[in-house]
Amino acid sequence: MSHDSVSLGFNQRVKMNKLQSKVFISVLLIPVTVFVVALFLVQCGGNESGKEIKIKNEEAGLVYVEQWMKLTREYITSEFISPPEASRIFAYTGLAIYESIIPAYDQNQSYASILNGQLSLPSSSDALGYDFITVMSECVYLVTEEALKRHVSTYDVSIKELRDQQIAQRRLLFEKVIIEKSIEHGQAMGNAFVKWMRTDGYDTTRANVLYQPPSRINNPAGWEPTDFGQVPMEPFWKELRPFVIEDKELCNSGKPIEFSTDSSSAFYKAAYELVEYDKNITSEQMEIILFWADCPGDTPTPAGHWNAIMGQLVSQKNLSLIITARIYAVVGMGISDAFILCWKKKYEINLVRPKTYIQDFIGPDDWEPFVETPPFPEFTAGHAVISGTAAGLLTTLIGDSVGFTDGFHNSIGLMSREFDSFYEAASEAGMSRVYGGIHYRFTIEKSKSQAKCIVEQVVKKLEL
Amino acid sequence: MKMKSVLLLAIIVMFIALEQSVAQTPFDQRLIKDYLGTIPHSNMFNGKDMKYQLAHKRYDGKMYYYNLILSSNGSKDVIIPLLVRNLLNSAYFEFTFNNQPKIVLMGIYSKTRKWLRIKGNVSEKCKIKGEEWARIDGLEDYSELVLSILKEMDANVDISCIISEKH
Repeated sequence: MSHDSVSLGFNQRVKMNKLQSKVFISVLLIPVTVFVVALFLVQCGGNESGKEIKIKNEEAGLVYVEQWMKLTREYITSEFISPPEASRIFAYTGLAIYESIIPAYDQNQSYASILNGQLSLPSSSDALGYDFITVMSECVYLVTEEALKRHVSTYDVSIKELRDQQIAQRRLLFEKVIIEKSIEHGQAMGNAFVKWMRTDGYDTTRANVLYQPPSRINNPAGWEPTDFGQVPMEPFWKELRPFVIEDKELCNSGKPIEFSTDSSSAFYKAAYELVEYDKNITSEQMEIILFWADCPGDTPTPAGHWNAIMGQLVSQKNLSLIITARIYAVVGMGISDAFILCWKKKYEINLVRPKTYIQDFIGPDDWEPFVETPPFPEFTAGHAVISGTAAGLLTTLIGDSVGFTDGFHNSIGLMSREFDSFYEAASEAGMSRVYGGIHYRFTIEKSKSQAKCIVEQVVKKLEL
Repeated sequence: MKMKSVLLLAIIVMFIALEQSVAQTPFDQRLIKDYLGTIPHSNMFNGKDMKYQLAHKRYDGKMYYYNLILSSNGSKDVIIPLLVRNLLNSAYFEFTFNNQPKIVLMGIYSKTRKWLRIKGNVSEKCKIKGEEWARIDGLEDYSELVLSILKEMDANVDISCIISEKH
């Protein structure tokens, strides 16, 4: 080979150089050019027909997700929606966001087939391709309307306007054919969701309005409404279908400590502790009470507070669109299931509230907790169960010892609170109910156990 | 006779309409006014009548800022800052003292159930013996609400003592 090269004349060497150049051009330059042009087309939205299009402009997707969540939180607040119902709404919205965009990442990570109640979503493996953010806007619009249908007037156009505004923005990035196809697919997704939502037992429980708590005569441990005119909240919520938990008998959380009116008993001491807190409340405890009050009407309830924490984590931790969507879906479903199991326990155990116990057995007989006692039985504690569940799932998804700042109440002038972990925040939320005089401390501890079990079940089922 | 009945009916209707219009005044409109009143035989001024003025300063979104000015005949005015957080269902009344940000006294008013409860982080020496913060029910009117807050404070804590303390 080397001999041949040496024997070549000048012209031959020139020809050889030209040949090498052609080879160089064809082997290296052409593919590079093709690659650059392809990259340009993908970046600039050129001819995208004929192939599956992944998520373009993720930042806009993150903005849209937060717009949906903010709108939902605002409706839940302004419409005085109850805490259990709020959790259901957030769960469906979060899941709709996630399932709308997951085909752009990895269809195998869809939760649809493993959730309770056979959620059958249309396939997105179409040759034409989609803008999955348009799919999301359309699907979430339909799901949000269904979830809020009993609270929002048909004349209220805010939900439709948000959908229209988002899709109008996407039209600037994609060809009409892709947008129309994406809207169509989003509608099919939304309709599948709505069909599934209508089988979860929510509509049937709306008809069950009559509930009479068991009499406290000969049953001093029993709960009764603590104020004249209080109506028991969602006594049939346990009948709803959970998203993930298959067996509602799981995560039973046991029983409260033995009821007693003896002044040396653990139960009496647990109630007396609240009297002491009430007498000697500190400034920080008052701030904690206010921070975690999460009352319907004032706020989007505890589920909405955690939803807002998730929204803040997106910017604080620079979360990607898919991670954000997964968090809203998984934590939303976990909290919703936690409410079902917690409410089941509440009406089964039917434990007396501290206000009634203290008035009857400790005194004075007009003793009042600082915070208004809510209209449902004491055991287990809703905020503690759902906060523990949220903390456990966020720890699984984002990490242990993740510090964060919660400035959710900045709009009403409350200082942000700093937490070294999600569990620290959950623990504080639980204790706020003890400081406020509406839960016994032992209930908060048992509620943490219930939350831990719910987290384990969700992690196992969703393979997190 | 017929004329008298019509007149009487008209007066009753007008009275009901007036009551309704007062009741329907939006809560936030009531918050931007000043309120004046007197607590007779106050603890704060050693049995003398205590005059109070809730002077509205400004508001920022859901936060309404006031000065609560307390005085008695011949006494120097005592000024206590108050922040009211006006939410949809509740209003939180937060009193701070001595230019410190921490809440010393906090009142929760339920707009739907019309009751008020106040609690405080007050040292033992500033509590009035037999301290018992009562829940006040049936508070429809805002000036009545302000009066109840002042009565509760004066009945349960020695405000001069709180002011003299370093927080």
